[in-house]
Amino acid sequence: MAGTEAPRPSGVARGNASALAQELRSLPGVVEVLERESELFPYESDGLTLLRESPALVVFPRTTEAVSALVSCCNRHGVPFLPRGAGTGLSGGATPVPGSVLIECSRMSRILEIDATNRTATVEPGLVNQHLSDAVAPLGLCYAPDPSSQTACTIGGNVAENSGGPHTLKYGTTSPHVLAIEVVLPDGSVTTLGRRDGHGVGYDLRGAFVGSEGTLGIATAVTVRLVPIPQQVATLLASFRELIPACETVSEIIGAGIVPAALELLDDRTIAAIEDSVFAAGYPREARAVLLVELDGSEPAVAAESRRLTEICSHHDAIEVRLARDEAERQALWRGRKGAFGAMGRLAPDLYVHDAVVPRTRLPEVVARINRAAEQRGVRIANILHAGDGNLHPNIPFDRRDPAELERVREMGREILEICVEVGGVLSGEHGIGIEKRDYMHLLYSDADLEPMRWLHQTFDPNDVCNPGKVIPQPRACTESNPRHRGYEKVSF
Amino acid sequence: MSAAPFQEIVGPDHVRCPEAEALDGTPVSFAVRPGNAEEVADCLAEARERGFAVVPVGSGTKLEQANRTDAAGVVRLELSRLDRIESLDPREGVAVVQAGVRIDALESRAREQRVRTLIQTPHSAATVGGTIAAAALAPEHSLDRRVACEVLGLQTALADGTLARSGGRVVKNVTGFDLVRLYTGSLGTLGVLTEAVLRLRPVPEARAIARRYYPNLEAALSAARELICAPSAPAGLAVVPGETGASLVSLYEGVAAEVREAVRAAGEAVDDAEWDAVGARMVAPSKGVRLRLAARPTDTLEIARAVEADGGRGALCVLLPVPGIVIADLTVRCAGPVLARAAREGWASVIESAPPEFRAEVDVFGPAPSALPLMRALKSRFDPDRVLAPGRFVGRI
Repeated sequence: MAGTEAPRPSGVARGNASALAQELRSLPGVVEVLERESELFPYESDGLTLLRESPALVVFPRTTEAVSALVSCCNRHGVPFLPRGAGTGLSGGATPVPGSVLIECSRMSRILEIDATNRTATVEPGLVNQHLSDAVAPLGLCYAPDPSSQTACTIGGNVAENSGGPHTLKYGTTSPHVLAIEVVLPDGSVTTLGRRDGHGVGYDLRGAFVGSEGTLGIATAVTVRLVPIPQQVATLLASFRELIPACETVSEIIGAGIVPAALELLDDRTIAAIEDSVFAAGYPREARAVLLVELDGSEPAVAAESRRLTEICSHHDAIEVRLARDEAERQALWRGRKGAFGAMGRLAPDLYVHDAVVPRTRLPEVVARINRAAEQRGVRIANILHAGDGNLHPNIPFDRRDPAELERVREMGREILEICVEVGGVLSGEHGIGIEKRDYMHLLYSDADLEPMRWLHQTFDPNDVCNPGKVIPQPRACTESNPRHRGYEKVSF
Repeated sequence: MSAAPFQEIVGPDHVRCPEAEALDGTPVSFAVRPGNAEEVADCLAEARERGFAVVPVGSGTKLEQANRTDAAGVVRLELSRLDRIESLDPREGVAVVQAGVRIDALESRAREQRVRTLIQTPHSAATVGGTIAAAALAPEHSLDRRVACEVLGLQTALADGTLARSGGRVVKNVTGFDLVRLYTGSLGTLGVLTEAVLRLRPVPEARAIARRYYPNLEAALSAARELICAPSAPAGLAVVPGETGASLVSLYEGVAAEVREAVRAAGEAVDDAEWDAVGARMVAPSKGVRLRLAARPTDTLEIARAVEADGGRGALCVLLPVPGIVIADLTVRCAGPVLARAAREGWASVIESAPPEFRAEVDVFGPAPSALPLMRALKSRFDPDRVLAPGRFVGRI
């Protein structure tokens, strides 16, 4: 089959961008096309800022038909394209491909339908995550996936990355919340994956599309499940003298059969950064680690689990277990956690937000190993963990202007993944692979494991025109994972 | 045709050459029982080489829930020897099991350690692999508590004879494309599942069943909606039409105080057997056509009425809270008009069992979804020689 495929589109040749821009501007439903260097600058990267590449053009469609026409036009000209939500992704999924057209979905941000009785909503991809929950709150409903960036990130981006968040522990990542997706396929045709009532028929292409990082097409409408706002919510902060007992407490909470809505762990460096910042939440500075735990459900369930949880924390010598007394205190505790990445701006000019998952009983050992390795490499680590599901974010503050430090950070990033895979973990829990970890996929999967992923990709995009070069590495025998083969001149991580 | 190549792979004791055996109406050339994943893969490579179609079989409880294969004969690939529970770790919340492990055996091992799996089906003999391949439905399932949500990783034997892993052994994972979702419910047409990594959930502190009778289906469905909106929502909910009126049976799980309170509000506390009876109705042998119709929860009354209006035996049960599923048992004469109505209304429909001559006339999975061309292309990529259960899935893929 591969022999019949067209060669990979090479991108817009220098000097031809203006002609293409004119053509794209003439398409119905295209509201803006950016082509000047200064306009393109903000689109050179997503949240993985170390890897930058300028797109040839940035285009803002307002309708599905416009996206379809744009994609068809790119195909005619042999130009690669990629979608972008808010650009908050952290693995380079929205980093432009050289010479590409970046399709910016922010002008497609309407809520198309809310069906409160059946608890679904259909929205355009550019809708900000938080705006959906705000819109359905008066109906007693919310959209459960809550990435830390939820006030900025979009539903389309969440679908692309299968985003998680603190409440993933109980409610799952984005995938189980998505019922149907209207998609513009890489050839410009439009189809629907899944069904709006959730009773999909045939292969679960909806499930395969979620988390495909913009490589299988562009979502133009998404039907999601809404969940009731719980009757009762209790948020507890438990502080510990050492990091390891805090990790062990996590295992015991889960082992006791309690399923908190969220179970987050922050270490002392993170606590200090938060408490020094505008996000100060009253976390105890003397603690080496805090657990932020949220229980939700009916009143009797939350009351019983709160008691049990407090006992477990005390058993592990928690310095203090504090229950938020009111909504204001609860919001303050969460403001600290959700502002943690921003607060780390105080530690260094740059921040590498890492993401990996390990079996949760291995957390104490893994965190200790990572911290030890960081010390040996002269790298600082500030840990935030979605500890309940073994998802680590060892964040590395650094200064990119120091080449030696940059190299140490790169090496540390790889070592973190090696440690996690060695104990049975995986490369990403919620940020995806993008370019950041594409060439580390072989740490986890053999070529034989990756081959079906390539088949899936080739089915959707036989000409490799839609966000090419992301997620799946070349077979080792082909390129020995040389990133240059995929058109990137510099892969930082 | 010689059985020798298959005997060489799995041993002579594990190959049968039945003379008059059929698999869902298609002659079985060989019945082969591999003993491990590598043997499964080797069998597929051999079948591909020799131009055989292969139908993987767990315990065979769902063989009728598919279109009849378009192959003249098939190799019946039995997974029953892959029956090892490799590991079951309650603290980690993860079990690793071979595909031929029976659900009841897994459940009983899990219960010993106060955990459970939601890989469930009312067929007690069903296997893990078969349940995942069919994305089987149990009355405890909902849109976020169903088979697809409980599978963390898979090992799959592919049509080219290779073994590939997907997913992982942790409870959260977005590493690469989600092939686990793709294989789940694909009915063995993309690969043969050989091992699964499953999520384990804690056994709730308390579990209880409530039942209340209503004068008619409409009243029962209306009451069901109220229960769904209560602070302690049921973990499962079924409306079971009777001779006169309908009963609403609800399952509650959670901490003891919560469950006690919820059951009091939902009706009379009844024995576990009442809930088991809902599952039993779903899979009871049918002499006619067993249909599963599904749409939005608010469509369920309309679907149930359509089933009754066409003079059939009516709905066996209506499953809520979220799925909006009606299971109905119809006479052959009535099933056609109901399926036609479902197609007009856009309801999903699956024929769970029916006489072979009825199934030969219709697609078991209902009208083709709009993404069928993409599904066909996918099947061609994964199985270009049409080795894996050809013709049995949606659109006779």
